[in-house]
Amino acid sequence: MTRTKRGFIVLSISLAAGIYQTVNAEQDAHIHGEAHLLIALEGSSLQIEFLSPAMNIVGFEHRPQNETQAQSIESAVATLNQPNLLFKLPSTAQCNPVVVEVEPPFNHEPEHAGAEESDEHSEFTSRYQFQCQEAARLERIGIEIFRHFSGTQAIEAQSISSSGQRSQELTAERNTLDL
Amino acid sequence: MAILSLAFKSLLNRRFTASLILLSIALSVSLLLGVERLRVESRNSFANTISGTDLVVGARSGAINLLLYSVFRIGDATNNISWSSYRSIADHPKVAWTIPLSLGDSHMGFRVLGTNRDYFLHYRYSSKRRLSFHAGGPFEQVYQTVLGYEAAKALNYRIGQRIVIAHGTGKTSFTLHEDKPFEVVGILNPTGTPVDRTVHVPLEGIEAIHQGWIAGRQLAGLQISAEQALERDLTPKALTAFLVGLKSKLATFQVQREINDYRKEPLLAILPGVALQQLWDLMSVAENALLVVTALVVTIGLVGMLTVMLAGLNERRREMAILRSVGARPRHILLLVTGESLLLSLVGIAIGLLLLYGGLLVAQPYVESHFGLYLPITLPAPREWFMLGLVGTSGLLIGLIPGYRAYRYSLADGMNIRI
Repeated sequence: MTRTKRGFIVLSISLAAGIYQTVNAEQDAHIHGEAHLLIALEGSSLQIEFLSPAMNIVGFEHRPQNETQAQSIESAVATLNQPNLLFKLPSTAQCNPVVVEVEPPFNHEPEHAGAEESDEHSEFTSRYQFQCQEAARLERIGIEIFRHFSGTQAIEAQSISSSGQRSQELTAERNTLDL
Repeated sequence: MAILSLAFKSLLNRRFTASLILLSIALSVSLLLGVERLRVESRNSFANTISGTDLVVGARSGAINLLLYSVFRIGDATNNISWSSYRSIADHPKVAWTIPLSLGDSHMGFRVLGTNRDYFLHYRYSSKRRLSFHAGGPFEQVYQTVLGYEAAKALNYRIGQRIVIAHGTGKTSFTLHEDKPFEVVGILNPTGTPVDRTVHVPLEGIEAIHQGWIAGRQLAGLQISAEQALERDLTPKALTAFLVGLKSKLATFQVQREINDYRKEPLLAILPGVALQQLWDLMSVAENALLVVTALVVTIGLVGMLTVMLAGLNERRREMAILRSVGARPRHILLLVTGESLLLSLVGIAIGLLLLYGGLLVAQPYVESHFGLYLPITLPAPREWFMLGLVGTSGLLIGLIPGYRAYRYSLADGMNIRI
């Protein structure tokens, strides 16, 4: 009898699991409007990685074809280079950015002139590292990305801290991440 | 206060109907709390099963799938991963420890897990608690086994006994690895996790019993004895999954990406905490449905009370009239009838709590041994108090309906009741 009951639980859970089959590839998935945040906190070190389709950031995913487009990439990179604009950390935690790396798409010139433009998606990736003197005070982080990049509708955030691993779905209205 | 004691006495006078209402409220309250408790505790038990593991790695499938078969022993793996891939990740400079897991065999309906001694060293459950031994110690030789507490208890095994492992995971398997029995060398303490129902053997043991087997069948005429098997190379060729602990949690996402991008084999690395949360998101639909059903049952209980109170009002016009004649004002009548409802709901809640704790006391050992779910007997959680408060308030509000009717009656009827 136990087995049948267990079997039933197994069946229902595995059926449910089927729906989520594709979720594991989430970091690779490229969905316009959605972005990813990976946040890890250990000791006094806070690391944040932000991955977003270029569509959310600048509104196109090809090499800049005119001056305006080149400028919008430049200004996006400038914004991404200012972690204090993107993340609101509690001031009591006393965090200072120590590493900022922004990897815009189309950074490399085509190998040879006239090369076929690949029709692959392009992404912005940026990495930040903060040093926090009172990391224990770091209970939540305000995510201001929505304000600066209006093409972003949702951010899937995964975080690791001493309280464990968790994932949260953030939107412009619900833009606070609990650690 | 006098009104409440009057309400109590009036209820006592109608004790048969009153006790029926009490029963229905009490049962519905205990059902509501019981469902809530099962929900919370099953979540806890899932969450407590794995602790301190940074990544779970297996063949590429779904995150929840991998978590379920590797950690909770629910369902089956879609594919194996090669030993060489495992070694190359285990030797990664950022990896502190790994626990290899090899599933697929069983013993009397209990899953057999092939692993190594790191399992007893690094596996953590609940809040970073280590496995400890009830008797004996970890295995040291190929044909030795360590039993989970429940497996040992259910099968009544002791240290030194020899057990035979069956091929496959069914309860009644026709293919047994009879020629290579395992000696029980250790029994673990209860953990309240699937570990309790697991038979642990060394990876080499799994390899040894499958020597001379191809595709789940023993080759005819090819018998390899237990001793002969020992002389062969018992390095496993494949694994089901493995758990990874990292030197720094900061590296988690980076190592996860490296494993997911591993060139030689399609691998999947998941964050167990995140996968568990995805599982909850799925389960919450069913849980909410269950909660709605129990809430409806409580509503039915309260509506039953309303029906009885309203039906009783007509018979009680005379009682009300007498009360009025001795100086009770209409609002006293309102208080009396509403007070009765409130009293009924409160006593119903109290009896419901008694039923719940009585039920927990009786069901606890059964649920633990059959479902591996430990139901602690603790005071109601804040959420449960909130539910009880909601039931009590609803009882009061519903009591206002017959109360108001009685109030109107007593105004209209006055003393002019005719019999």
